Amino acid sequence: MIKPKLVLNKISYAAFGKVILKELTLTLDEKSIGIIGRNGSGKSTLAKILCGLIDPSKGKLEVHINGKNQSHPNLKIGIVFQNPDHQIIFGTVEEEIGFGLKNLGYSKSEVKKKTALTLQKFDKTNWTNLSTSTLSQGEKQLLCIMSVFAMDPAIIILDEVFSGLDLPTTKALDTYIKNLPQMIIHITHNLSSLEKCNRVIWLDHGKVLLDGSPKSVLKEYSKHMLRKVNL
Amino acid sequence: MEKKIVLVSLFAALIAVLGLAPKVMLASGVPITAQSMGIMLCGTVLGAKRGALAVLLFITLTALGLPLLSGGRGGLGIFASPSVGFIVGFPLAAYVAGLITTKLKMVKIFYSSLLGAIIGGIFVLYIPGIIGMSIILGKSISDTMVIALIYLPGDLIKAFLCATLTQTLFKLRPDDVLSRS
Amino acid sequence: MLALRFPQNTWLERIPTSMKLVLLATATSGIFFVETLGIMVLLFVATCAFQFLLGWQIFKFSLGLLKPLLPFIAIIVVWHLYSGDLSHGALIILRLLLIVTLANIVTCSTKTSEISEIIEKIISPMRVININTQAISISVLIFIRFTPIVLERQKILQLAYRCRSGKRPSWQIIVPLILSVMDDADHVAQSLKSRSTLRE
Repeated sequence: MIKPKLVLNKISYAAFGKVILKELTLTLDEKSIGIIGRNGSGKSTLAKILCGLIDPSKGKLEVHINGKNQSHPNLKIGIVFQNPDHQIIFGTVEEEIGFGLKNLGYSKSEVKKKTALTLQKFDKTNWTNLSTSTLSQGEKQLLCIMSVFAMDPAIIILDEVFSGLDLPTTKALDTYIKNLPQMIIHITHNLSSLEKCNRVIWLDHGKVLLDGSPKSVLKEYSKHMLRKVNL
Repeated sequence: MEKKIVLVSLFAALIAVLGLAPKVMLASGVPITAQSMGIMLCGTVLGAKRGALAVLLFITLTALGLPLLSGGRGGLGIFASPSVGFIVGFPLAAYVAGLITTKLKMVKIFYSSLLGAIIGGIFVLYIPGIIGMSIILGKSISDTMVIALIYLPGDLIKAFLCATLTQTLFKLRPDDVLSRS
Repeated sequence: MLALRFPQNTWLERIPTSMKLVLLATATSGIFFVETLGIMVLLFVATCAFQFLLGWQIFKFSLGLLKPLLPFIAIIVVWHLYSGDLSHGALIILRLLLIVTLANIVTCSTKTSEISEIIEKIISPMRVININTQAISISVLIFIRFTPIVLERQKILQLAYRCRSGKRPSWQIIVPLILSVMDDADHVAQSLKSRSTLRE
């Protein structure tokens, strides 16, 4: 299987007169990549550009999946956002997971089968008919991850999915994430979950400040963050 | 595209919530709810077509049984109550309110939405409203108009509030005010 | 979101929905032709007895559903006390209560899915004028999911206002409420876009 690859060539993004991303040039093809940076550094914007939700103001993005350059990467790159309440639309777990599959064009029976398979993979078959409103925040977030996973994307982007979750839930969710077979781009403030990544990129004011092994980048980042900062 | 669909759905939810919020007592002792202001807002903020769609969505689901009409009313019974004419007229009211807000682009949004809210949310709405009420209550149109007058002061306040809100929203989130984008 | 349903299941639920709707339409139109107070009283009592036979819980529940009509009833009472025509007033009030009760009986004894199926059948010819049915079904879902969430947000805003002002807010929280709804729209739309293929 050919590894997926994202090639960014001088990607810039500006909105409402503010420059958010400045001429990012990167090639992303590692299995797990962490992206860190202060709030407002452009991480979420980058995530949305990578999966095709917004277009860059300048520059080119090439998405190579199975060796081919995708023109509409939309459904081949999954993204999970910060707030599960913004993502869950349906009343039951089965319907929620089935939504993306339906949109991919699968038949009713195939949707049912693939949904059951997904729940099995995450060991949550007992969730099938559960009402989504009875799930805890952490469980909702897992559901969002499962719903994206079910669509069999080549890359999954996680945009601060641990927000608002307590430590045990974060750890539990992180275990699931570490077992995902896809290429993962993980944006988070939870530095410990990035320790085993292949590569960590530190984004600051829309530019890459540091880019390299988790050990080196995370150490520098922690040092920097612990210095006194004025609001 | 997705954004427009979501705005329509969320504004429909807003109408429901404005109806479920506690009523405000007018001096005359008649309780008014913010729900009809929600109808006006759908028009002035989302524009004619999408405003009407949001209202239609709200009415259809309430008719299906969700207790979202002010007072916790819902189901087919809403069409048997004296408010039936108003309910049926809601989408039209939103449409006209939106049409006026959009067409009067050259005027400041406060005034165009105020005009839209009054013409759509009051004049246009009261026509089917009074007809419906007169049928259900078995009164003549002129008698019913007297009854409907009780709601007029409240509705005028709501129209004014609606215009103020639309102007504020246009200042803070211009892209989301579909009636002017 | 819970639709209006009777607190207990009844044999009414086994009657086909289309038949219930036809019966309701016929009964409602027929009631408008009744001009005699005596007959109206009989019909009203019969309907009450019918509900009572369905069960005390159901009777109480149905009565509760009529509460929002009190302001209108008050207006009619005042009007007819003033005009002196009390029997006509009673006729109007009973007729109102009767048709609303009948409509409520049908609503509370029918599954939402069955009513929506009928609505779908009525709407389906509209597909000819190119109405985007996928967009409609997604709108319905988002509406149902988000109404409780927006309601919750309104309650929180009310609390936040109260604990800093000591008073209950009315119009003051509407702007933050609508702004939060518009911001939500952004996020939900993007999440939707990332999983679907809606066409313009």
